Amino acid sequence: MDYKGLIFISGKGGTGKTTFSLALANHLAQTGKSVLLCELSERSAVPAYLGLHGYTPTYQPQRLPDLDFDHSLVQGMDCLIEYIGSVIRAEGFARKLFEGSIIESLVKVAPGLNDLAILGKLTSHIRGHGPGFHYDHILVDAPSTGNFYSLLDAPRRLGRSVTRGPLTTQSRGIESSLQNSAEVQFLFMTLFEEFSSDELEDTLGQLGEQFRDQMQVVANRYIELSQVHGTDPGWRSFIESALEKVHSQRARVKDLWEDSFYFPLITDSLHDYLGQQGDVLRKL
Amino acid sequence: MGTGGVGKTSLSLATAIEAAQRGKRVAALTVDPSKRLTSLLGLDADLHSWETLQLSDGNSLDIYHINPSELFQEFVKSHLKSDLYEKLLNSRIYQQISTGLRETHNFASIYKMVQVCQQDRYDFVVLDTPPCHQVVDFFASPTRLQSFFQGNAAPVDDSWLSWLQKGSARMAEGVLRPLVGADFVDEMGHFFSAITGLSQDVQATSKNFIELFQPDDAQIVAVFPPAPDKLEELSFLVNEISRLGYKVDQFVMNRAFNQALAQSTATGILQDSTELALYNYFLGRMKKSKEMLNKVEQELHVDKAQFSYIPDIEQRFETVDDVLTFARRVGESWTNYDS
Repeated sequence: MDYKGLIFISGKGGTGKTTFSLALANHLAQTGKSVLLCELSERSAVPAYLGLHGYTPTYQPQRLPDLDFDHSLVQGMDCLIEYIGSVIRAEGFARKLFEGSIIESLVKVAPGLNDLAILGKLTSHIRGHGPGFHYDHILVDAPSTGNFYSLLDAPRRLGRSVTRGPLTTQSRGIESSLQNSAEVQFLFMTLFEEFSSDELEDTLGQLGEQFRDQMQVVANRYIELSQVHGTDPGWRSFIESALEKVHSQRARVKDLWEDSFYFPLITDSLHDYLGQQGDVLRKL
Repeated sequence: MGTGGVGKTSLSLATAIEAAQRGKRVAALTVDPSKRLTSLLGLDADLHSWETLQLSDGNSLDIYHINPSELFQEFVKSHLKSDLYEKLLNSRIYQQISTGLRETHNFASIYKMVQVCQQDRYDFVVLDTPPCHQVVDFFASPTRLQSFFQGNAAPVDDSWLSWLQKGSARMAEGVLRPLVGADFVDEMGHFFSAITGLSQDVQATSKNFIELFQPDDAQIVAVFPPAPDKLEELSFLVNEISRLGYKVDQFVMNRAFNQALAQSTATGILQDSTELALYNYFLGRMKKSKEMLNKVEQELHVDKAQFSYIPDIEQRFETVDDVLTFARRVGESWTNYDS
């Protein structure tokens, strides 16, 4: 798999975005690249997934304990303060402004300004504008499908709210940088389940056209078992039905999107899995 | 409400169906259900209207599929004087807000919920909330909307321009103008002056929603998966909800265990390490899910009587009967937790 500089990982809730993001970040770091894993949710899931106590995620990238990559909790407000600070060259002043509730409520109601600020920060190094992250690979543990649409749509929406001025220029720049197929990649997670495949079909219908060359599907929890040896009827019926699902949905996912990969069901602990070497994805 | 991908929509529809089969007058409000589920039930998910689901036992229930942008539009139209409505419609910011903003989506659900409950036509109203952390936003939005319209922070009571002329606002504007452009600041002005007229009705609706949650009238049900790594997410949700002044009444573990797997042994598996790892993994997950229940009980101070679980079903939703079977299991789980 050819991994780009900015990788968004999205998919329906519960498809394993965080686990996969950690595994991919770890793999890329093992190949000697500098890697940053960004979470966009208000609360970081990473400490719980890695069993880290006493680690507090921050906007400022930090090296994760015992791992070879950095981690950042990217919030719209932080991005805005930093950006405004860089534009007027006084971050302290910008921070002061945001302490007042006036500007905060303004940002809350200004539609999509938060989302735009996040995308602005993430694409800053591509556009060569504003303070950006500088890594070989930036991985984004993105919101689940519906919210991901509104996130990606924010530049276009804001670009339409006003037709000229700096906001419009930035919005357009961000929108076109997201379509830069040499730099930006979208990985959509799905499961070997009927409902997940349905959902995937919807997602591909919504975004497939726009990001055709930048999109790969990652089907998670693939079960690799060629023959069932167990003789217990309960186990046989359970595992055979699970395998049947994997095989039927595998064919369906491939049908829906040629550029599809799978990520195995992790039967060890995540910690043990991260100790292994090699690419995390295989062609479906 | 619940963590992501846990079956909230299936569970809420199943609960609604089960209640209808017990002869109750039922309304189910859903947001963004999967196409498979709705088409199975013969529903048209794109409709922004009521549909009646006729059950084979003669009972029926009403289902409303919430289309947030149309619903918000409807609210604005019916609560605003026509000249202000025209003004608002022409605001480009409003055009973007009404279709894209999370807050308006939340408000649309709240508005419908209040409307339906006030009608007094139903014994039982089921609302499917947005997934994960957004559910916190959802429950916070009534208070947030109220304080937005009441607070001095919001430049709503005043005209936008006079607000801008105040000291700190002028400073903010000095930053805002070069940053986002004069056009955008002007657009915001038009938008704010138009929505001023909505203030009282938004506040009233928000207040009514909060009042729906009287102990005997409403229940919040948290659905969660048997995955111990989701415990923290669940506890975050529960704490945030209670911080906002609501209370989670019931906890349902969905896909709690698989009957066939629960009764199985490892006979004959030892020769294959991959198969053994899988067997141990699936069995281990089931054991851990029990630990998870204990932890929820201890850490979140949840009473045993508040727990239910629904076993994992191998059969998929291929016919309406499958959904009804699921509904029956949900019904059983509500009453038979202890067994």
